[in-house]
Amino acid sequence: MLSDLTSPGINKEIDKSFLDKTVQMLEELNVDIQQLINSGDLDVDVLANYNIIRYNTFHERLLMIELFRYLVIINYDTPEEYFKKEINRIYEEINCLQKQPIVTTISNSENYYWALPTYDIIAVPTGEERNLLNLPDLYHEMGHLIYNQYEPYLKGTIEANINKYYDDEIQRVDAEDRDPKLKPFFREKKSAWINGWVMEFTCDFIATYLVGPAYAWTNLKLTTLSSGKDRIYADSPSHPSDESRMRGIFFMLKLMGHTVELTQIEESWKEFLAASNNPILPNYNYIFHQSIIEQLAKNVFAGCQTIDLRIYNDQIAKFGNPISKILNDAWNELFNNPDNFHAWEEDRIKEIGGLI
Amino acid sequence: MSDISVLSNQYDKLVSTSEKVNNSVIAFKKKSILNDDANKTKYPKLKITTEELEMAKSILVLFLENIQKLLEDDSMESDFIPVTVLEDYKLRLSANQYLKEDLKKLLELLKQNKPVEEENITVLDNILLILDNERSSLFKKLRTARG
Repeated sequence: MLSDLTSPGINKEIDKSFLDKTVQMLEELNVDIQQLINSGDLDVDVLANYNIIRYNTFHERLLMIELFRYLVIINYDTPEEYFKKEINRIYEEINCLQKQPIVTTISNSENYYWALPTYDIIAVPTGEERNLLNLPDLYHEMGHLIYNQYEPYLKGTIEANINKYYDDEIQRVDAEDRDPKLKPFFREKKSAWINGWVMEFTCDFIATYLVGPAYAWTNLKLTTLSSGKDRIYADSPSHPSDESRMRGIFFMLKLMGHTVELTQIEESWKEFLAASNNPILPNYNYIFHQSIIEQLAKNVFAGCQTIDLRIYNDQIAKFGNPISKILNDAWNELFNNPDNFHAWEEDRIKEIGGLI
Repeated sequence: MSDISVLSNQYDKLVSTSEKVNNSVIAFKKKSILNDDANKTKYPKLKITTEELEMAKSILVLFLENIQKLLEDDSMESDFIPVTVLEDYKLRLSANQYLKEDLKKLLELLKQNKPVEEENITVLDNILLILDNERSSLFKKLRTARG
């Protein structure tokens, strides 16, 4: 890997600090392994089990570098160059002062968009440079990087609200003689909020703040994938349910004053929920209580202003036709003129190419 | 929108715990090995400093207290174990019926600055093995989630 990374065949457009950091991480791994060899620990039989654990950790460290850095560099090509220019433009439009991440096309359609803030990468499926309707999700992934740096400003005191809400509910189990199984249920949900859901909701709110109604439409589109598996109301330890996320996005749009668009999207969403008819889990209202979602949305809205991110409407005021507006226009065009959408999308992608 | 961001954070947390606890146990093992003069000749490179042992002790006390808390109530919070594997981790730990008692003894020794012998830290071997398994399994999830 080291010889590949230092060869002249590496794409010159790759961010130099990312490349240098990758080389440095491999060299540090080499040094750590050499130190263990020199320590004499490997000669001691009774330390064998502990040395195996050390070996496993070294091995995984090497694979992490290979998967999330080396492959990003080796596969860096024309789409990545396009995304580099696009994300530079977006960062300027949204007034984000962070170092821009590398957008790589090493993801697949199953995993869709993802971000790894500690590695400064966002991954998208191959071919995404030719698609506008998914692009609002790039703003969600950028949200992960922003959250990584500004977490306290964005989430505010929401953890205290979450703790209070669930502690009160747990007390009510005894006081009101409710089912005792609710106690571990509430503890599990509180933990999921603190350890995963706050971040995911926050990234949705940041994306909505930056790209406006288009983010809601893209999220609705994405939710159609879970609806077929009866999972609209289902959560996981890392992700809140699609239904609750949509409620959060709607509230953020309301805070932003997009009432006209909101009415239209809410109507489509209600129709979709009715048609898909997914099962609602027991005690669902205690998992994603509207009061917590709204409080977090308000915190994120204030946090975005504190860190001076430029809200969707202000991007239009400053740039006239920022990428976020083109993404909103794309959804409008799809609804108003679906037969012409493909040709329209191609033209806009060329237009973005001109902008960047 | 995939789980990769969350999995990656949780994996980093588990690696950090696994490394810290493993290195701490190694420190006590080394101390135990070096108590025998014959081993000093057999393993001339083997060394352990007072500072390293102090650091190992403070890490283990915090870690073991957290495990005690996890085992004794329905707590779903841990500074050491990420939430993704917490339930499974607790389940695996509770398979050892003597664990609570052994942990209590070891914690008393550590807190009272009494000598820790090899038999006292045997209880940690199983805990470390479970940590190693959880870490590998989380890594596999992260790797396959990436596609």
